[in-house]
Amino acid sequence: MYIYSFSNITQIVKDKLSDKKILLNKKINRSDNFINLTLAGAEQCVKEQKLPKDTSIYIASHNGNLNTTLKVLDTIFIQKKLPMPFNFLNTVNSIKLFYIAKRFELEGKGIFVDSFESAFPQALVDVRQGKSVLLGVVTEAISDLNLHREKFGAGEIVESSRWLLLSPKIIDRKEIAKVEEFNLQRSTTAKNLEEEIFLFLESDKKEFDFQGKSLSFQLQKS
Amino acid sequence: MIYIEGYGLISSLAKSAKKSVKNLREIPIEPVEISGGKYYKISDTKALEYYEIIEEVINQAIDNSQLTQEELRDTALFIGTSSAKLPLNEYHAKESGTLLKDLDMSEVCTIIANKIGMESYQVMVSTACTSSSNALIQAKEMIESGLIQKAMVVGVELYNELTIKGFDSFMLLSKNSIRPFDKDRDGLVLGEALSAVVLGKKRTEFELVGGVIKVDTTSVTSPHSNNLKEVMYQAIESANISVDDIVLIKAHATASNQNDIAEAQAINILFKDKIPPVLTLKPYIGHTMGACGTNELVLLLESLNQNFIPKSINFDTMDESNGLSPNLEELDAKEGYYLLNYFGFGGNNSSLLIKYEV
Repeated sequence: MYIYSFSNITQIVKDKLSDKKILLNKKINRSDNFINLTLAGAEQCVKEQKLPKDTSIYIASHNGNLNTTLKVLDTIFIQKKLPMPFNFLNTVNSIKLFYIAKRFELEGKGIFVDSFESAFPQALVDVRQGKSVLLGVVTEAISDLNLHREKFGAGEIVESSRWLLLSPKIIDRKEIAKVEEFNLQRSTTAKNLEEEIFLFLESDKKEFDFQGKSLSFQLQKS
Repeated sequence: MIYIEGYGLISSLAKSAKKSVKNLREIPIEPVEISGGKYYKISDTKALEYYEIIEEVINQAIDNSQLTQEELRDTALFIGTSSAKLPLNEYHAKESGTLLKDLDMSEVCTIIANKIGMESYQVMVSTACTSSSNALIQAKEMIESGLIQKAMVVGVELYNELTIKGFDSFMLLSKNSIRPFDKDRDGLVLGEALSAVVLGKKRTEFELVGGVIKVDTTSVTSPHSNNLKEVMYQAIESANISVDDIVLIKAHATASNQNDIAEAQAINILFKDKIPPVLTLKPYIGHTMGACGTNELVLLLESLNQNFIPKSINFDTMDESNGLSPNLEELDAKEGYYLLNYFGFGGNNSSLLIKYEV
């Protein structure tokens, strides 16, 4: 399996969440912060490439769409009203897959999962079947920063949208890195977080050994 | 070849697969009244017993498949759900007004795996109504690739108001009953249920021979017949068989106006004048969202194990714009290929193909 492109949008939140729409080449009506963050990362990864129609899409996120879920829960449990239809729809995880597929004119598989380490082995299976895979890991912050700190601790607040374009070897095209020695085995301590993969890809280093909670692999730049 | 080695089910019909199918055949359960419509409720469930009820259905599947402790340790865990931890989160919202108590999806797999003693790969798949059908397909492909040996695929959908109010906001809920493909259908009735399916290489009478997932970008809320036809066709093609080999279609059949039209058109286009019997199961347990993939599969498999194919209920008058009538009589179990359809919001569509051979 080879990495042919990647993106790493990582924003430290100081006073308020940034407007992600300004990052987008194609804007979506009725979209929210999570959807825009997702699309921005995917656009920066794909750039002008035309992807095969059967490219699989994987989006991984531990907490999913926090702000719109909060808004809908507030409407239901505090205001005691029905949510706005498109607010409800934006809480549904498959909607993000829809917008990515529409943006890049894809018709293949679309899967939303809970973490990078859940998504990566499934992506490997698709690549072994000869398919390309667009894999993103998206983390949204709560716009009420005090609430965010209450939920997730007092540390730095970060929003991120990090993407990989994975594929079998493409003839006449130079890859960024090769994934080797993949091993699916649980470990009591994870040495690395997925963000380190993207930092490695941005760096001058040639090799990186990823050891997560449930899998390990080696990345080798060409 | 990947087989279904065992299963478990907890539904509004009963708290086991065997009793659920017995009740489906003898005394179908009526949905209860809730604000905004009706709902198929599991009796005596409590929001705070979220993990316990998942553990219970997994234990049913472990017993049914006779998994040893050693095999269980090496079995991967796939949880397919649309609502994930919302039932727990909403409990706290109601009790204390704390709206975001806990939404971390990964934690569900970790807690369940630790309770059960599973040490292999874990994933939560969340793609609306196709969550657990997609989880089955992903699990099958991972076993075939050699990355995992066996998989426990769990579909979970428990009572939560976000889903109910969300569907209500789209005016998709029926005030009366769920009547798939009927001329007078007026929407869906949601339900809660959960099930677990063990996939592996030990030969049984049920083989998961094919499965296809496709995203349709025509509309975010309504499926298009061309895409649905293509999903069914590719699932059949993946098993190197033809449409003539299909002995039954388990339709997605939500009883929403657009969904039923698109699915009926797709079936008509693909099967032309040779449409096999079409079964609708949601009138028995409601639309169980992300869990309907495994729930409806288990209902069908257990029915076959009890030597029959259920009749479709809540259908009186054919909708001429659909031109499709589900099977209205109980049938004898028959060996062959069974096609199961699951379609979801965001154009996330999948079809499964099961081979039944005694």
